[in-house]
Amino acid sequence: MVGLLNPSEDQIIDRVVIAPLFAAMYVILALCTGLGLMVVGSIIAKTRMQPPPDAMPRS
Amino acid sequence: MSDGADRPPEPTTPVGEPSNDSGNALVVTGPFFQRMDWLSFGLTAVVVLVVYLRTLAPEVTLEYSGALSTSAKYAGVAQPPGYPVWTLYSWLFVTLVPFSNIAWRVALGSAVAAALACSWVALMVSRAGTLLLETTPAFTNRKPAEQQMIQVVCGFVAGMALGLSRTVWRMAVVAETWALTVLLFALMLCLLMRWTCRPERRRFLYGALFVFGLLLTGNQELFVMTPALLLVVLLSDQALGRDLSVVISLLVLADWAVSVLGLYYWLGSDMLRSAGLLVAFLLVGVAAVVAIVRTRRFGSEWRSVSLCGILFLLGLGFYLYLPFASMTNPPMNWGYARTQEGSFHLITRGQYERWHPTDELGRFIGQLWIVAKETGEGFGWPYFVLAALPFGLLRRTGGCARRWLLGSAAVLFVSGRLWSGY
Repeated sequence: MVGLLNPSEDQIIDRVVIAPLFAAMYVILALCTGLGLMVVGSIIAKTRMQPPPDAMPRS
Repeated sequence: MSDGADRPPEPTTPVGEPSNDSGNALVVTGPFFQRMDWLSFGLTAVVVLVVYLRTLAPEVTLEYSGALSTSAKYAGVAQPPGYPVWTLYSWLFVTLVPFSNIAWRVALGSAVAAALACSWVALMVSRAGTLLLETTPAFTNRKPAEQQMIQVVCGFVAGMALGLSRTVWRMAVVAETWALTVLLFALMLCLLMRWTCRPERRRFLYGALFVFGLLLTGNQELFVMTPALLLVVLLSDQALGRDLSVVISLLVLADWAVSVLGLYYWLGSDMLRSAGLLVAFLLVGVAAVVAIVRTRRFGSEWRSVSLCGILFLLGLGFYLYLPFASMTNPPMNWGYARTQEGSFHLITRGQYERWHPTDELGRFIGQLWIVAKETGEGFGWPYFVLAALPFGLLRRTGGCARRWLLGSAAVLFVSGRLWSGY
């Protein structure tokens, strides 16, 4: 789509004008980011450990 | 005509039950989206909407805000290409919300649309992540409650990342058309994802194509996504993808030939001057021919192909609203669309410059840098690293998640990076 829209390189205003045109791209980036976070989260997130027996409250 | 409802449903992999050799993931049938997916959806929608409402523009802002607000108030005809779907959507907010000024109500419509788009993203991440990780022991060996927690949190984070990105946030709090575009795009992806996981239920594909038609009533440049959508169909349902791709590739080729010969012109003719887009259509056409050779069949899915075309045209048919709206002579009556000439002029954006695709490699590289920089600054550079990770699991994951991820990557490619003259 970059080539289709053919934005000007040297006008900073074009960055503001063209940005919304790529909002669809943001949706997929967000999706992939979430999936990547899920990959990282499932690997590095600590599993909740069971408390040791002597740490259990005694009645 | 069959939507495949008589075929047995493909198993899904919801979280929450004990399992076999791959840990806690269990293959069961049931609703595709689970309770945790909807929790992620709801949580994201509420939080993003609260943020948007706190930062909503109180009045008319710059650029097209005033014109669009007037158009929404009188259900008129906005600037080219007319934005019929957006106008009707915003008119509902102007009519149903009984307080505050018109621009605020229209901006409220933007906020709701953007918040819903973020929540669809959260929903998709929550579900697709589970599908993607169903063969990853680091995920499946966890307790169901932990899996669910990861699902909800990651979906929420993805939705918030989209909602709080500079570009989306900026257009979600003013009277603008972009928020609805993002919502329709996210909805289309969600329907496609639903379909790719159960291709026999074609009503979701029909729904996605209807939404794609709606999308093109406001953002014609997203026509460039068509080859990517055909790729998704080819990957998910070879027979349907084969027939659909052949038909569309032939139509595109005919249009290109006619426009090159100077016999006819329409808006898409300029787009097809982009060699990249033309090559993408040709590649899809070649893939369809390969599918014909492999299956030794063609045309067996003509009913579904026809239905796809009808649903797409039905979405696109909202353009017909413009001449009728123009007949009521609203204050915002761009292009005098009640006449045939005016309608054509409006819909084809005749007032604006025609498409001039890039035809220099150096210029194209410079443009890519502009877009990459804008995306990095607006969305956040660190997210790029995370976004690349799921593709590392493509070989290990199941068919549904793989097809959907490949299709999404293709859409990402065409919606951002492709279509130079090279």
